[in-house]
Amino acid sequence: MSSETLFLKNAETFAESMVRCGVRYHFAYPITPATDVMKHAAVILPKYGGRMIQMESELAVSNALSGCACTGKLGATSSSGPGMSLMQEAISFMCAAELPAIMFDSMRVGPGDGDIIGAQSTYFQATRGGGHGDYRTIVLAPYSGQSIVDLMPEAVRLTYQYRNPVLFVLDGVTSQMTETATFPEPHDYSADFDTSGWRYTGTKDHPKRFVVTGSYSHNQGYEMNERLRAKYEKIKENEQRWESAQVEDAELIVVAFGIHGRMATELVSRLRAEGRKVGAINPITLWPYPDKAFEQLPQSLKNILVVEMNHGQMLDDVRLAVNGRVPVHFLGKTGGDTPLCTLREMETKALEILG
Amino acid sequence: MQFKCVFSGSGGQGSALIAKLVCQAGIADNLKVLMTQTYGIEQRGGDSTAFVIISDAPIGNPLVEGDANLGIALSPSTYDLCLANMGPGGRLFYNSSLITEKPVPDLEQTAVAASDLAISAGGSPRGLNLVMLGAAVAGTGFLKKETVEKVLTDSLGHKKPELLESNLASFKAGLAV
Repeated sequence: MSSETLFLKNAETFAESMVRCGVRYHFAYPITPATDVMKHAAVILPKYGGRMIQMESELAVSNALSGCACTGKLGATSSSGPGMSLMQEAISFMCAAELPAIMFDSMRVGPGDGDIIGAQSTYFQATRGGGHGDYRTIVLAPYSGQSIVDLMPEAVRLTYQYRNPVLFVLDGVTSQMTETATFPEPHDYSADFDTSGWRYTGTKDHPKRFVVTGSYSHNQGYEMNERLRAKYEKIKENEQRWESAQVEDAELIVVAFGIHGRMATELVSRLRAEGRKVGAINPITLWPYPDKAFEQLPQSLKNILVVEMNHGQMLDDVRLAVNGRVPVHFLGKTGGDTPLCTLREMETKALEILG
Repeated sequence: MQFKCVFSGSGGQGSALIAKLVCQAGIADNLKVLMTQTYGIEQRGGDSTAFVIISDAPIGNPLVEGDANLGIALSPSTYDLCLANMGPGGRLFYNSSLITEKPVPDLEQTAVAASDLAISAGGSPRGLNLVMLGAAVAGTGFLKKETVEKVLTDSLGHKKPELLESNLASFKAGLAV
């Protein structure tokens, strides 16, 4: 089979892509706007010898995913808003136990049950974690169906190479959008990694193993955290991803991820056509945050504008990366019939800052 | 080239099918397409709107922000929403069997008695969406009519072959408006 172009909802593209890249078990509980992932997975997984398993709650989902990961098999889940909140304990566990898994958060408005319409208001939860402890989840932020497809092999590599769960975050508006994506030939990327040294497969050919996180002494707890710290440092050093557009001589750089990252690229084209010196940075990894994109800011830079579908969450990371070198402005919105800033609103704000 | 559309009607009238057929026709002609639909706690008879962007280059901004080139309004409750999404110089086709026109400056509006034409052409008012699509294709040339006929045949022909003839008849009745 060669490459194939399909016209799918981006949530379906996620399911199609994860299965083509090696996921064979998908655990989920229905929730808007993420249900299309499990629906599509239920249809296609049997063709690949896998299964979609609907559990009785998100608590069950996340613990089933942990159990699947303990066997070395690649499992996945998809959810949104309050569903992701219920999974935080298990995510903390998987990070501590160093288990590979792929997760998808079709982000919606919060807090609490919030609203079913799309948002980027789970940025804090995704990048900081709602569970306890010094743990980190690798967070990827695609902005279109094609970028989901392009990121998926990387996600499988990251989750196995570092033995750490990988979370995709996509606002519900984009995940419910339908567009074309071109899929390469299916390849089980999980099979490229040797899990024989740690997975649970019974003790016939090896002594008893402990994949789970038991600190039987204070020193074991300390050692576990030091081991995780060293791993997170390595991920921060090697795995930052971002895309940028015309930042070299920019007076204003627009920083946005997901749908606003996609729109920022068009904003740059539109304002450059009018002779305005605008650039854009579109973070692809939200953790590790692409600090390196901000290391060499151009001398011409006077201001940065952060645009989000929330009230200012990634804004904190941009301020940390910029560290006071230039003023950082914010434009954001959550909820409503159009739960994001329009291109016109972004343009108005950019022109106001440019003066 | 970028062409923005808004298709809106009451649930069951087929605005989403118009959007899907337009996207499939665009893909068949090697164009980039993007479709967004309103979703929520919808029920039968509730309003349903689909936005489609067709382009010969990758699509950056996925929103239709009062800049639609083409609108199709199927029901009175969705007519105002279509008007609000139309851009200057746009073209709005409305189902005059149900909707009374409101004049709007810098917007060309075309009355199509779609519910009535669907009954006379295909024997059922359910073909009104395809009448409207036919009228929009003939009136604007934003898609090739042959391509739309082909995707209509490919997508509906194998699923409900017994309805294909009346669907094509409705589409052709729209082309003749």
